[in-house]
Amino acid sequence: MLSSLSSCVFHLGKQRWRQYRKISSLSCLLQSFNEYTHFGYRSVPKEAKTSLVGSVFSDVASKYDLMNDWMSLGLHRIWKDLFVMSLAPTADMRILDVAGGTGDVAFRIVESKRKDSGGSAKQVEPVVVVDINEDMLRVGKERAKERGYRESEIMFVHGNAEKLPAASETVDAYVISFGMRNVTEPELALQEAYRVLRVGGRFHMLEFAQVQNDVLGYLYDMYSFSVIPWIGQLVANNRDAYQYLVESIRKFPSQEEFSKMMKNAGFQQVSYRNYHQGIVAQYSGFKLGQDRNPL
Amino acid sequence: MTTVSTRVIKYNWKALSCIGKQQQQPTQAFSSVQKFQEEWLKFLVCPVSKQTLYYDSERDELFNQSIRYPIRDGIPLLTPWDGSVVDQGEQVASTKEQQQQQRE
Repeated sequence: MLSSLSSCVFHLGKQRWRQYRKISSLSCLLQSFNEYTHFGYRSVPKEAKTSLVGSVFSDVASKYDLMNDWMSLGLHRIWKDLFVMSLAPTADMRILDVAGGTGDVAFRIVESKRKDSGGSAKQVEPVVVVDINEDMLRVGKERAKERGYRESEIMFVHGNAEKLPAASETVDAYVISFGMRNVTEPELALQEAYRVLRVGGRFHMLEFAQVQNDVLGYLYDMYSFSVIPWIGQLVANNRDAYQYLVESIRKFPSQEEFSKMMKNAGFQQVSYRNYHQGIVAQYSGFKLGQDRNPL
Repeated sequence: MTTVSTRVIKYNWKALSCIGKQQQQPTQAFSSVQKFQEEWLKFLVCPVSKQTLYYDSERDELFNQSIRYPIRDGIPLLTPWDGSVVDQGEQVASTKEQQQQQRE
């Protein structure tokens, strides 16, 4: 019985997966028009994408963390732990967490800052969480309150990554975790990141990326298009939001392309590091001032 | 597939889909919402003009001259779409519209 159930789901998933592969090649033609951009495998006007993304996250905000655990089989906790460990935030670093929503990464940063300050006289700078969706921020605020984080340690702001409500050169580290693929124009977000960072500041990003290994890529595609929307329907009662999720991952530029975009925005010492052969990638860049070519 | 297995799958599907139907909407009323702290203003500026903002405690808004940004549930709303241009207490246009007009 179990095998027939799993083969039934698998078969339905495979059909849908093939369907979406066909749609993705068609939508490439439409993208030649400048006013349109991709929303998963659909083509939408650029002005509409921001509100569409916002509505996707409003629908899933209450179940967001539970779904993260189910979809990534708990691995997202490890990725975020490694991410924050490699950032190594100290108490006096002012950190901007963009698209931080429910606050997963921000809470880890606050914990790290608490450990670093540990009663010393260093002034603890808050973590500012910016997100385009108010429902996600409300969920994050509730979680922060449950954990007992003070207002001086973490603050939640509703803002757009393409037009940040932060003054230039005020931030020591710009952190964005699984948010860049939802931004309508990542180039603008990178320019804003470069603007708000101080000289010596760090751009740190975690994002789903292109899988380097063909076999793993095949299995990953199968899992993404068959299992993830099905779990979305089961747990969050929203298949479309998670269909958008897996499609937006495929549409995001590859590791090399995004590194080039970071260099174009002015970041130096740009590097990336793959987890699981490229399922997740961690990007890092620094704002080092005017000397672009030291040699 | 056999009729037995389809019936079992339908039953399980109905049972499992109930998980998703609970708590569809995030709770609207939070018991104690953090009030806006004025010290946060040293980080926040207007997203469009990048000028400093001031806190209006009577109306619970952030403002700079004629541009106002609301605060909801202790969260300042600072996207370009949230701002409104207020002329003598009346809303004239949103900051986004004003920006587009200036471009034209």
